[in-house]
Amino acid sequence: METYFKRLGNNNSLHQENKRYAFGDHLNDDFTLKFVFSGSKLYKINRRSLVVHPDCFLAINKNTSFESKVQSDQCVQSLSISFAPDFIKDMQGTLIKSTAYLLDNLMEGDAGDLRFPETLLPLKSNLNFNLKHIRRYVRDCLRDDSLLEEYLHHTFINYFEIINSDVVLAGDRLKCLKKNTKIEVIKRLNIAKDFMYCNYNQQITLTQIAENSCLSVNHLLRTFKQVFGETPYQFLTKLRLRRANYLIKNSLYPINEIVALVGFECASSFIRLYKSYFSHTPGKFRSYDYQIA
Amino acid sequence: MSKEIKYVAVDVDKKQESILFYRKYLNFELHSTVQITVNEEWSFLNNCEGVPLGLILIKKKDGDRQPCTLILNAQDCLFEYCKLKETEINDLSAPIYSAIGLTISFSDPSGNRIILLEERKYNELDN
Repeated sequence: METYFKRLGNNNSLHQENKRYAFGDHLNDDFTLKFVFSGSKLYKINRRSLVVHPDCFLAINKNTSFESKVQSDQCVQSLSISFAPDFIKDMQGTLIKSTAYLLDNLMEGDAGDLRFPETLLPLKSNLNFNLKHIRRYVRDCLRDDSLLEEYLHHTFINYFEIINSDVVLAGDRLKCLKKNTKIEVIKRLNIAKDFMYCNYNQQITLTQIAENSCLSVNHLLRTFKQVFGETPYQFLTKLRLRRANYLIKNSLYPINEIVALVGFECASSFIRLYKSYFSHTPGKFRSYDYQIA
Repeated sequence: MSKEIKYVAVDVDKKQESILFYRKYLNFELHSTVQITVNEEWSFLNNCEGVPLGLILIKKKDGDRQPCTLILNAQDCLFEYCKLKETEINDLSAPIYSAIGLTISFSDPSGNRIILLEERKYNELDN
């Protein structure tokens, strides 16, 4: 199925498409979460380039202008889930207002006009499980609006969980007194993360990451560790390892080629790091995976 | 001797109503009913989805009954929740997230608590 679109009675909607090439300028009608299940998709928002891979997702607010681009040899399967202003207003009443640790300006605005951070976030935890069910729903061409409504409702709850753990609570760990300073630093640290998410396959330096996020190298190192519990280098290494793992599992590239594709320079250090992270070698993982297939 | 658990016993007071409940909502089939003693009757139920574990509904008088909690596996808790929402089950809980996954709960006609659990392994490495 090349495209699937469904708008529900509460005006939340779901749009899945499989494309090798697509390009477009858009003005976002509703708050939307953007996922990619295979390949990658480029979004440009306010001159920032954000690449969505299967291990992360992007939130785009209502009335944000953006460009999207897919250009790939393989089919890129992407999914957009949009939430109507009335739905968000309702969720704000039940979920958001009860959250005592909400930082004002990270999610600003009233009712359906709430603004969420337009940053790449890791696709994990309950959101990942819920999306697997949604993909099955689309694949099996089910027609049960109340089930889909429930899935989308929980997608928002799961998204909010990730925002809380990775943005709001992370901000609480920042050791600075002024709230505005805290908000600004978190925004910049998320830009640093976005830069690594998008340039993981390049030989990027700490100076480049710091310059891109308008922080000094020392400030970046200190605050990144405080907020996320790891250094930018550790974050980048884990990201490269997870993306290498994805390629080992989902492509036929030789491991030596994957090493270069995810930005590692040396195969032996890649294998050592991979083994310490996943507790098995890449070769063993691939042969085991083939046996299962 | 095999130590494999084959049946789980559930005390019930309304036998027919309970059998109907387990057949209708939880996909069990009545296999047989056996009179064990004058006061005790066992109804053997097997799961239609190929799960080897069965249930024995033990009919007991109200005072002798011990309500139990039955935790059953669910592949998709939200799917089950939507299905059960359309029925006359009136104490169906909303889906609840916990460290082991997603659950919903409700009671059978004799007051035993049924929990449907979609077990989830929250491991960063799996993502």
